[in-house]
Amino acid sequence: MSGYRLDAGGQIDRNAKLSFRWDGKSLSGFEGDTLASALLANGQSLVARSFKYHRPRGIMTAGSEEPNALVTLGEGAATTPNTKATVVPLRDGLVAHSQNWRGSLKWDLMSLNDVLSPVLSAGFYYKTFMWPKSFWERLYEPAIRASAGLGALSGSVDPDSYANGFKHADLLVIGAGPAGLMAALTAGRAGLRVIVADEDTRLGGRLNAETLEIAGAPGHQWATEAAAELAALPNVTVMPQSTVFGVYDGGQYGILERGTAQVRATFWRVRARHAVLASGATERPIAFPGNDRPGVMMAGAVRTYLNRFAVATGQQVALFGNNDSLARTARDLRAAGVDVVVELDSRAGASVIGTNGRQGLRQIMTGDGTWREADCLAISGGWSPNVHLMCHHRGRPVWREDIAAFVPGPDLPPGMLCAGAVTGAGSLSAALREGAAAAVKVAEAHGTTARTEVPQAEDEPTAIAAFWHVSGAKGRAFVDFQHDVTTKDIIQAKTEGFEAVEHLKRYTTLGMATDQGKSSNVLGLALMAEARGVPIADAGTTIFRPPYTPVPIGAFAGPHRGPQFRPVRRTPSEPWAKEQGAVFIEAGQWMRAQYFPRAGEQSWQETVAREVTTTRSSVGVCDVSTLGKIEVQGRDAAAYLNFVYCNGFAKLAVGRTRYGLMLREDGFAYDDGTCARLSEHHYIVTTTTAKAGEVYRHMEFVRQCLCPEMDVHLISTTDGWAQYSVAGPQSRSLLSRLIDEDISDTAYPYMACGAVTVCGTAGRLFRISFSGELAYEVAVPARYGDALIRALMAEAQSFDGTAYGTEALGVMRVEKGHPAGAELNGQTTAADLGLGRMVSSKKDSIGAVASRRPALLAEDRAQLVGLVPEDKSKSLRAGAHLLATDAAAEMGQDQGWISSAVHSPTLGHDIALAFLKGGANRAGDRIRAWDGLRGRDILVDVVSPHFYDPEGARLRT
Amino acid sequence: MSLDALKPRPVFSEQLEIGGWTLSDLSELPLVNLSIPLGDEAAVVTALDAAGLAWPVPGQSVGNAARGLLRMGGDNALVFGMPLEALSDALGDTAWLTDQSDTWVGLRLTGGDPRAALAYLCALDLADSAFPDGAGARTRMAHLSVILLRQSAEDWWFWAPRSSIESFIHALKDAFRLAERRKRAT
Repeated sequence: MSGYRLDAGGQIDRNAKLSFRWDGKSLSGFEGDTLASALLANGQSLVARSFKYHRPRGIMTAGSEEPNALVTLGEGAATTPNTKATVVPLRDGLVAHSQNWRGSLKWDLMSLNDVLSPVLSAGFYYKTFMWPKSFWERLYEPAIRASAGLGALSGSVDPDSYANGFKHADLLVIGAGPAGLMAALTAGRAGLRVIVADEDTRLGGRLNAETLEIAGAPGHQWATEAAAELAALPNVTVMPQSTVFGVYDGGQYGILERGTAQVRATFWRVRARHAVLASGATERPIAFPGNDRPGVMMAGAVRTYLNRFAVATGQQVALFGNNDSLARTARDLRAAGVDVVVELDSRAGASVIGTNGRQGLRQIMTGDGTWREADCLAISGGWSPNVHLMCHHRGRPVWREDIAAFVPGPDLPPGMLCAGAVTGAGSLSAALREGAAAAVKVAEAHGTTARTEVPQAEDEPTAIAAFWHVSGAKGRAFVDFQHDVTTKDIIQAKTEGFEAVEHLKRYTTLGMATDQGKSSNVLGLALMAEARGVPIADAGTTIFRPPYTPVPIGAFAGPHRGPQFRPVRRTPSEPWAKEQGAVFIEAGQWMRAQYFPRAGEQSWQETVAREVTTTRSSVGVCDVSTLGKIEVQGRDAAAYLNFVYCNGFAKLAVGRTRYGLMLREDGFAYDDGTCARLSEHHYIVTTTTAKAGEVYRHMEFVRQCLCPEMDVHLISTTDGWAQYSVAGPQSRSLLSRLIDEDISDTAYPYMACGAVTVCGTAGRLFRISFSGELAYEVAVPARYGDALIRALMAEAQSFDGTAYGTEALGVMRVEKGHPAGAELNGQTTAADLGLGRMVSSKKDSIGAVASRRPALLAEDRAQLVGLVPEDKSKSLRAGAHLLATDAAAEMGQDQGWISSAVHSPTLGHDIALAFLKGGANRAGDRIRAWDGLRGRDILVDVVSPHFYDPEGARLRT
Repeated sequence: MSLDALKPRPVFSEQLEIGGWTLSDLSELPLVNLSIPLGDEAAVVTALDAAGLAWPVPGQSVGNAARGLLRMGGDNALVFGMPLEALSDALGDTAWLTDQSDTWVGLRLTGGDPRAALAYLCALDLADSAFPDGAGARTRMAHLSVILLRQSAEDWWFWAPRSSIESFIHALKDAFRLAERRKRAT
């Protein structure tokens, strides 16, 4: 033996030596090691500090249930904290650090907490730090948070890459231990599409950790052969390093695959008609004083390190447990030449009542008060089946007294079967049989037959007698090692009335750490049951929820981060607008030109003022392609639209457009836009940019569910048309140069629409106006959009025209008093918007009846008004609250709010649209616009929301 | 009107090589949405038959690379390869038609079986048994609504929204890069 590494054995490649750094120290291991096995091989007993008391901790397990050995991987931006050393495959150059200490791992200043532990018991912060009240947020909580906790993120952007994707299978096998492998082989050989996922790097589960035999050969050898056969089957996908962390509706499973193909983690959504849960079982500890000292380990982990990694976890190993696995542990250790100093079987009345050793185990005290030398104590309190995934659909496990464990109950997620240790099947032979049987059932359900070929295997002894804690001994006995919950905390919780398991969990934080109590939950429940004097079955369990093991947020995001956070939608005029130096703004997913600065302009306000003024005096062009466009066709299209819109559409003539307002079922305003009738049975509905998708869904719902008897068909053409608003007194003159047809006021009056030819291309023209000027919207198929904006702007030059962006668009619509997103906020009615008369009483339409509810017609509702500052030099801001001039600035005095505010270059001062209580009848009132966030408080006068050309004369010229 | 005629500006004009695959432009292939008037399916099917197009089950297509029809739902289909005017002439007043040629950008992916890459984008089961030759669907890929058509295991068509075609192509490239890395790693 070289140090703690055995000279022979193990499933490691001794020819592949790997170097790694641990807390700055260079160490080495072999291919096939985990970080934990390599640390143990190098004699690193102390690897961590506990969460609350900062007690020295060592590696306790060999799997994802590890409560102690949380480490930080990597350096710089790629730092990954809180990683279990037991599941990190060792690689050359790996850099790892211990965490959660101040000073050093050996000399942690925060271990003062351990001295203070008598006052830091469960719920201490609910009872202490009560005075003075203001100190809680300022001092106590920050101090507690700073002293507790785990590793820290780097604070930099995570440079790792992540992915997510989808897989499908007839059968998902969860866990590739003996039961899982047998299920996958049986189903795979029968031709089913199988995915077999296991969180380990090697398939085999406990077969890799034990010396049990299958068909006369070592179990790990059978597992290797099974893995090779599965990998060769074209209908089987083998996923090592992949944890099934959640079971969702419709046979969907979440799988986190770690570290494949330069991707740190991939989140797979797997749909499978069936699943075999072969997730095995987790060994649990026994509570006795000093049971958290580095060197105290689970017996199963001791065997794993010994048999799989050829690492002796100590030179002198003591054993303490309540089941037959002790004998196996002793046998394996002795076979490897390790000194087994004592075997303490609780069934024979033996126990451990104390441990000694400052930063690692040196001695144990046996039940008779004798100190024995030992640098490793292997403990086993039995095995808890990993039932978590079967509970994700609210299924509950049931207690089995004979094996002292919770096993899957009858309510499994649809399509799930269980096999192996998770069912309580303790022996290898039973696990293989159950795995095969589950696969046969799945094959039958898929209409095929699977042959059962279960190899001969050992039926090793698995007897157990429940033994949870050593009573009567002095000292703290830990139950939840990661959250430092002791037996005393559980008794205290019971004493203080937190008896229910859900209360116990929250009061003590038992099972709420990153290991989710995999090794501690059942022990904690058993202790509470004992304290209450009830059977464990009556104490119940907490609810297991996804994820089974922690999932990096990056895996959920996948590649959708930074510029790829969501799709970007680009307008047809974007290339041209970029050439002009336009400033863009995100509007939903769209990138829209916000304004078009010109040389010499000092500010965006100056640019916007120029765009507004030019449009109102000559002509301006704006890309409005982003507005939703929904084509409505069908024999009943008119009747349908008459039902969807609150105003009348039955009599809209062909070739005419109408402003329409949709209400929600509850009578509130939903969305507005125009609807153009192109032919007898063909309409085009426009929506606001923001609500395009939502309105389409709403209209599709109405079509399919409310009007199934109607012949009406919808299709979105938003992306199909490049559409430009051409506004201003010269708009007709400009468009006449591009359009073949006569568009004079006589031939093409206000609200006319129809097909036109634009520079030889078939297009559409709508005489509608959002700006309040004579205006048109001209549309051509999107591929011609670039050419059209160039043609329009080339011709606009002769009118000294301008392109304008969303800012000028917004200014002009506020000047005109048109409601937009800020006014259609889901809380306003047609009446609030001054559009009450649009809700036709001559027909039924969505929301019409509900809109007449008395509360929605109350005269004191907040109604749309216009506001101007008393002092015209003052500016207005959206979000300001409206108050009476003499009212205090408090919620009870609130009379409304400013929804949109702009500087009007046309009027020469700021203007705003606002909602004011009883606003419809308050023109002339003077009130206050109070803006506490920005520290503003100014007097404003209530006016009509139609600031500009209220008669609409300009748009009809 | 004496101005120059408008010239189209394609959003994806060139062939793109991704790994061993080729992504080519299908924008010149006209695309028309066809909706069947309520209760008039027989008339449309007869008219389609006369035009050389059948009416497959939903999720399946008929035709060839030059001209075909993908049935999207009970009363709805996409016809590709026939301009609106031609289809309108062929079907008369039997169906409601809407030109979709500019709403979508058609892309054709050839050069091998891309399903390992598409698994990073597409929630659908694309196995031969579930999505055979001729199968098509409108689905979500990389947060976008995309129409997918499998002409053969090595010939896949996509129609992605024109305004976000850049994001879709980026997502495709990403997916192929991931698949390629995985292939190399195994």
